[in-house]
Amino acid sequence: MAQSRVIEHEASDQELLTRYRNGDRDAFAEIVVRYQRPVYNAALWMLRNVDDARDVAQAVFLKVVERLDDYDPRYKFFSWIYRIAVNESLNFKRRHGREEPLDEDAELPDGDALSPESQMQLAERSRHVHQALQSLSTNDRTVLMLRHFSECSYEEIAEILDLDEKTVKSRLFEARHRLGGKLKDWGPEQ
Amino acid sequence: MNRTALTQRMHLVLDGAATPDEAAELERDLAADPAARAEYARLEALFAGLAAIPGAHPPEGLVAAVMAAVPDQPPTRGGVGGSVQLFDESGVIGETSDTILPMGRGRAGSVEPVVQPKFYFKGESMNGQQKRNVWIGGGVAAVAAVLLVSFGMNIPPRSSDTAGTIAPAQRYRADQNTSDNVNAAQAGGQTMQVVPRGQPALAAQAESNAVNNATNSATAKAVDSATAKAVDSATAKAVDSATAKAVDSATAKAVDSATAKAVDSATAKAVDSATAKAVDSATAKAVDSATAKAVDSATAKAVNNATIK
Repeated sequence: MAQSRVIEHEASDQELLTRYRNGDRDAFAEIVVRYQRPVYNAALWMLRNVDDARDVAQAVFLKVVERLDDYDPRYKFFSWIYRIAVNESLNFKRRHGREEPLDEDAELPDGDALSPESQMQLAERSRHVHQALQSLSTNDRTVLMLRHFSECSYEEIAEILDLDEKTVKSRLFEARHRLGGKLKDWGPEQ
Repeated sequence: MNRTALTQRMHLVLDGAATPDEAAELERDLAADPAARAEYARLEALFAGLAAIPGAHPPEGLVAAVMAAVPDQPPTRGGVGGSVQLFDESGVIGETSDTILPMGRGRAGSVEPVVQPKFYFKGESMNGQQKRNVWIGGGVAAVAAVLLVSFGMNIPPRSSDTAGTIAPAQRYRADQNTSDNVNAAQAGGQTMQVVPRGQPALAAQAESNAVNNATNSATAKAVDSATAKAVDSATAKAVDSATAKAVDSATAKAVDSATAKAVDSATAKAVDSATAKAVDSATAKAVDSATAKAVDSATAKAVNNATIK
């Protein structure tokens, strides 16, 4: 499996957190720079609204500061911050008690290395899948986000969502099945 | 292997989580089952579509917004740097100053102990100073109770107060309102204020209302004035901006138009001039050539004729 996009920073995450504990505020700014994209995208996948995702991303980093004493350095920092991001997003949904409108500002993939025809096909495929994703439940979007955007392993997803690996596999399978159902009129041959 | 198990195996392989044996087994199944191959192709396309969804860029200013709210140091459970719970123990002082909490880095609490008030319940013990305080407090409370009963409740009653219930009732009867006490507070009679005589509290209330009305009016005027100024300013800016844009646009168009005309004109003149020069030159050359030929021919003929003769 491909390595996670954020796991490569794990070793120095601990150093940065230690420096911040010792009063180096810039060290925490580095943490924010490093994790703003995955945290923001996690919130965006779950909330489907850019303004809500921005608010939740801010809240996540402040929660990290507030709860830093709770962080156990034996575990991966990115798993911990993802868990906070997922929980903050779910809390946000509960507090607002509404289903967010679909965000139409979907970005198309960057396929510079492909031929123009392949780029068009990839963009079209991405657009279809993105639209179908938007109509899935929050739970489905969450597990798909962790696997396909954040590239977390089954084990990491289980740690973040506090589930066992068997349940993670089952949820992924079901979520993809439902996503495939939304795309039944669209296939690789088209 | 049933269909569901086969599909789950496909997911495992595409997730990169299958063992080599599982992957090889799937390959054999796919080779023998066209329907499974079609399903696998669809799943591959789905995975590719999911992988192609781009990540969104975080909004600009997110880091700055976060860092604006981040303290210099993370709060700790011991209270250094601030409380971590919404309703945590006070960070200033406890029940007694013996439990004072440090305020921050390098600021240890060191004050004289101060006993704070506290309720004692059955079963709790007090020291000698606390018991003495209880006796003193109890004595003061008893004296206050006797004075209250004697003067406050008029016991025993004085002779002037024993004439029955009519006299006290007359003492506390207020004068009745007359038409002079009823004033229209505002033009149009929308609000009526009743100011009974002998009731200064209501008069004070009326005065307070008047002050409030005046304050509200002044506030409203100030708000109106500020709003009007803001609107004027915004309008002026909008007009200036629109005017500037229109002027810029018109200027650009005029410049473009003039440039185009000048270019056209210059081009035409140049063409005309070049044409004329070419024609002149060609004509002159033709004339010169014809003249020379004619002269040569005439000269030759004349020479020939002269020679013959």
